[in-house]
Amino acid sequence: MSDPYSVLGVSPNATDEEISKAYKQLAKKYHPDNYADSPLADVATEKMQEINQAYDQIKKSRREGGGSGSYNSSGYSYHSYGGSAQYHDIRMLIKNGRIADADQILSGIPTSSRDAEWFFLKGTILYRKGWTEQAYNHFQQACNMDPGNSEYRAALNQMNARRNGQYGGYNPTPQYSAGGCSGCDVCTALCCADTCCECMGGDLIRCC
Amino acid sequence: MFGYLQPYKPYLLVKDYELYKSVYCGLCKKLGKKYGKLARMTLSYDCTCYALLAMGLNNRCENVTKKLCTCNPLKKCLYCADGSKELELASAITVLTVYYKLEDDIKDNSFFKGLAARFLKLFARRWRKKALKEYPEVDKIIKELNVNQDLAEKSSAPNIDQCAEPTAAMMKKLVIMLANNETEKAVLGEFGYFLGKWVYLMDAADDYHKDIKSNSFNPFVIELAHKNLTQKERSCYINGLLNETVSRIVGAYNLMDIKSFKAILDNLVNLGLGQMQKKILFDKYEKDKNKKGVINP
Repeated sequence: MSDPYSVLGVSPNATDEEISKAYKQLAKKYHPDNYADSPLADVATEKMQEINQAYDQIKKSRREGGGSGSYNSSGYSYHSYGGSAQYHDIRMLIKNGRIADADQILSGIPTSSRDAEWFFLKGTILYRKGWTEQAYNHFQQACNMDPGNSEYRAALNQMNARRNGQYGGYNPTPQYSAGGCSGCDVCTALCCADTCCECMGGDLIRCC
Repeated sequence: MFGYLQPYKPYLLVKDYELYKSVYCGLCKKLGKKYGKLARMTLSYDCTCYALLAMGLNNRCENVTKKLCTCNPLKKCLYCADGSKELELASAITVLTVYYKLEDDIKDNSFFKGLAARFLKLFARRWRKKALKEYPEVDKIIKELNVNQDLAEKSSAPNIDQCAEPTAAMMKKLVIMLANNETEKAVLGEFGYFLGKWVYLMDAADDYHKDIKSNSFNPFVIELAHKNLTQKERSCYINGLLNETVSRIVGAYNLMDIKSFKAILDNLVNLGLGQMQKKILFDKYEKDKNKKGVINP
């Protein structure tokens, strides 16, 4: 295995704190949430294992008999949910990356018997393919047909979060009050005014 | 290509900015050397980005040398000292994209409107011949774009994903060429696909009003024209699609093993794309409001 320090991108002289910071940053980067339904999920898992191992190794060598300290050893599984029997095979195909086969079987199901799960699975396939706009429409349709299903809702929410720019891009809604005067601004202004007055020998706020 | 792939300068260290310029100038010089002086006019930011990516993945050293500028004999420019192979590939992509763009323009316009394109094509033909000899696979990839784009636009009910597919697929293939193993192929393929999609969507968003005026094909016009949205609503909708695409770019990028030029590429992916969305979708329409000079990514 390669040098655990270079895996985490830190120098061998780094403090424990620096190492755990670097580890947490990388773990956040490779977190399965970022790769849900992505064709790169396997690669991300591999990377995650790599940094877990590196982190464990460093900890072990630094503190004999220390805990494993793994940030994410529980393992995430995104396909553990049930779904109906009819779609079981299709779910398996998607899970194994055989997208074209899954798509073909799905397309064979007549329009009249397409239920919420059909739209959800079709959306998953489209998402894999990179057709994100179509995927979004299909997830929406699935949620409309079965509003109580948390699996469909989660997929739609995830896409909404991506659209809002939480995973990169640009968010047009300003995070601060544009040009407004908040309570904090008032306090700061008063403090400044007081300091100025004191410079000139006066006083604005008597207690300080 | 279109020049949307740029790092966000205010957040780039000066040394990284100089390094970026050295690649830009290096590509310019390479174009001149390989394809003649006129070919230097085709230099673009997108191909610079491609060169950066290629050099970053192959661990080219980040040294620069100072030489006379090829365009202005009174100026000295920085040139990157390494990466001749990558620059050659990027310059081949540059001239081939230009050639096929011209071909497309000639086909879409009437005889007189396409006259300038016809004239330029006389030169482009020679560049293409040379590039074709050395990079036949690149020529094939870029050639496919026009054919597939036509097919997508002429299909019965074109949707946005379908229209973006040819550009995305082209970029995917071009970026995959830089991969060294199977895992890298998967990661770079995803990165390239969504980068291409992003560029296509940006271009379509940028040309929205122009295409309405000239009655040209534009996927957003088809999708949104009948919906009666305000400018702001339309921008927000398109911005959402772009953010989604960026999230996939960032995901793939984080799995990539960038060995050099990392600071520039990090900036480009994490800030540059978002800031370009802001510039094209929002700033363009908000010029009268005094928000212009604010640096707030």
